[in-house]
Order: sequence, then structure tokens, then C-alpha cells
Amino acid sequence: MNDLKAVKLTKSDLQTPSPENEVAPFPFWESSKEDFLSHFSNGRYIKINKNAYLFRENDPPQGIFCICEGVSKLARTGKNGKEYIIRFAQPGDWLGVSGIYHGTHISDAVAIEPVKSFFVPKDEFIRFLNRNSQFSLNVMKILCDEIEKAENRITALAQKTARERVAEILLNLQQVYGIDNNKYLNILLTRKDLANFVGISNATLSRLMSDFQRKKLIRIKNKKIRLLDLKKLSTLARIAAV
Amino acid sequence: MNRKLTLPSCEECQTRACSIFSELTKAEMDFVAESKGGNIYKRGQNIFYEGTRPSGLHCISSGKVKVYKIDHTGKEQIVRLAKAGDILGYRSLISGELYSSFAAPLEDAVICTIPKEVFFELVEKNSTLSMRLMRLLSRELRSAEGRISNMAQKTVRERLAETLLMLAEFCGFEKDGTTIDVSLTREDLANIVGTATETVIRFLSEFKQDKSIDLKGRKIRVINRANLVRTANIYD
Repeated sequence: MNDLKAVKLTKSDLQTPSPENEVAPFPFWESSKEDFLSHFSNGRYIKINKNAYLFRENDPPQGIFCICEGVSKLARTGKNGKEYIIRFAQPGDWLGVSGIYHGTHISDAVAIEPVKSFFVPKDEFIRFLNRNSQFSLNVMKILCDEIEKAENRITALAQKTARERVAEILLNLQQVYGIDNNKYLNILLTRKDLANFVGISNATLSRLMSDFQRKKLIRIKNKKIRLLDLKKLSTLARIAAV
Repeated sequence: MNRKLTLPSCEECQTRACSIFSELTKAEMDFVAESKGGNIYKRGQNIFYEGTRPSGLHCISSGKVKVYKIDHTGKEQIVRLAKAGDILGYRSLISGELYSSFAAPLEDAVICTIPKEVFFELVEKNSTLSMRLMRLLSRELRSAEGRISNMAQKTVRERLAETLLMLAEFCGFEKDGTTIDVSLTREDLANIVGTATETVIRFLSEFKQDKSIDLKGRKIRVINRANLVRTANIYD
């Protein structure tokens, strides 16, 4: 929690969300955002700087984070200190739920771009959950979805080659984060993060990415990636065409 | 083969104590007992299939079950194992989606099925039950995410050793205290580890040469646990 700075956000920060996360911040909730927030009198908005931790693996959880803006990575550190990225969290995601039921966080959560989130202290979250069975079902849905994604990654890691996994993850990132005006992926990842997400070395990733460029499947400019041939990438990733 | 089954009684169920239903009231339990159905599933049969819609919650009364996914080349990956007292298919039920995996017994399994509406009514009324479910989901998430980092970072040899230790812990031992109490084919084992069957066979005989394990048909006997732990390179 030392990395967290509780920042009083200005009114405009809260009231003019950028269009793409207008609907995202409080998913699975039928009432308005204001109604929802009013349930958590101890909740507060916090800003997390780029590269700062929201929480760390094995830390006792203080509460949950509902991401309103920005992307963070959930990562574990394995033997030899090597990092492995489990997934990326985006606006609308709730982080730290499973930690609460475990006593410790499963992974590190690190902001890879500045993150704005709504923080609800653990006790308040649990109290609200116990009183409200619909909310509790909604939170279960979030967990189900995360487990589903994790199991798909297990299957991919077991059955797909590095090349197939790179293609699959690029398509996946485009589906989740979309593209900017110039058709480049709307998420900026370092090479290292991408390699740690695919589960391969930086060198292997670089080799595969240049190969993809040569085959005109992707284009890279200023670290940003543009997918040129979705059909070929899907075939390569062995997934049904997008 | 007699396939007639008298439904196991919830009240006398041995495994209920360690299931999510351990804290139901007598009335709630009777409600479940009246509404449920059940059957014996044999190896080779499926309990549910990917892409079908869940009609209820499966609760394992006896036997062990594998939950797996199949890619389009037909290759199977076991994502988790379940045993008596565990529930199956609850994630699709909660998220209101189609089954995203297959479930099949590893040995004869008796499975009760609780209708969807009954399950939701219980979750709504009994906050302890929903708390237990939340804890269960958190545990499952933790183990799935742990497996992701294992898959990415460990060698097949390390993963096989770790899988054997996991099986010993999960299934327990037979009366001799060393034979793992599960009958998995080599193919199943390969599908848990995430590798080819022949690779599993090769490493198993290596482990046998190292005197870490002994093999007797499908059964695996753990002789030197410390050796396996070392091979598995377990650090957390």
C-alpha cells in the first residue's frame, strides 16, 4: 500500500470520463454509478503512477480496486526472479477480490500506464457482499470470467507453439483494447511485458515479430503494433477467424 | 451391469461435510434432496459437454472426475480434477453461459444434479453458501493462475514431478500409504502436464530409475517424496 497515494481528484476528473470508459467502470451493476458509489462510504478514488504497485504478491489485501482508467498488469515472479504476466486488467475490472478470500494477493498488480481506480476497503466490501446477494453473484461472475481466461491460457501454453501464442495474443489484445485512429493497437506494451505475457524470451519474441513483419502480418512503428492481416493471423493462431 | 441407482441421501452424505453445502439448514437440505436427480457415470461417458447449456449443479457423491478442454486438432487438456464433495459446472451456471469445458469420470462416479433454480434460491437465501462459493472461486483462480506461470516457466520434467505430488495430495494414498489413489491413463497424465504421452512415459521411467517412484500398471507409487520435490523445483 506504500505505493498508493490517495489523491483528491478534481470534479472534472470524475465527471467527464473519456468516451471509451463511460460504460466500463462499474460493470454488472444495474443502478447508476453514483448510486453504486454511495454504498461505499469509505471508498475513495486513487491515482496510481505508471510502474507503481496497486498491490504485491503475498501481501495481505487491504481492499479491492475497481479500475476506472488505465491498464495494469497482473504478474507473478517465478524462479530465477523471472516475471510472468498472468493478464492485463483494464477499465471495468475488479482487482484483489480473490486475495480477500485467500488472505494474501495471488500476484503483483502494477500500473503500466497511469491508473485511476476506485478503492473499497476490504471490510466494507465484504459487508456489502453479505447483504446483497445480487452483488455477490455479480462478483462471482467476475471470478468465473477470470478463471475461464486462466484455463484458456493453460490450454494455449500446453498446446500451442510460441509462434501461435504470439499471433493469438496480438489478436486478443486488439479485441480487448481496440485500435486507435491509425489502426494501431490501443495498448502500448514494452517488448519485455509482451514476452512475459506470451511466456517466451525477449529474443524469441523479437525474432517472431520481425518474421510477422516480413510476412506483412503486422507493422511496427514507434513501438506501436498494427495488425495487417487478421485472417492470416487467426489461421496462424489456430483460432476461428475474427 | 446393474446401472440402477438409489440416489444418495443428502442427509447421510459422507462428503457433504467437506462440500460447500456443509452449512445448509435441515429445511434447505430437504429442499435439495427432494428436487435433485442423479446417476452413475462410467469411464468413457461424459457428465457434460462444452457448448451445451447447464441445467443444474453437479455434485460428486463418489469417484473422481476430470474437467478438460479440447482444441480443434482434437487434443485434450485437463484443466482440473474433482473428487467426492466437489461441485462441477457451477461456473457456467453462475455466469449464465454455455459450458466451456467437458467433464468425464476417471472411474465410476455417482453424481447428483441439483436444478438450477434450486441452486440460485439457495445462494440468494443463504449468505454462508455464497461466501463458500466465493472462496471456492478464489481458490480455483489461484490454482489456475499458478498453473499458468508453471506452464510458462517450468520444464516438462519439473511439471510432471509437480503433478505427481499434486495427485498424491489431491487423491491421497491407498492402504499401503505410498500408492496414489487414482487410476489415470498415461494419456490423462500427459493431458494434465500438457505434453505428449510418450514424453510422460519417458520421464516416468526416468523417475523410476532414480528410485523416486515405482510403477505398477496405471498405478504410481511414491517411494522418495523428497526426490520428487527436488525435481519439481517447488519454490512456493
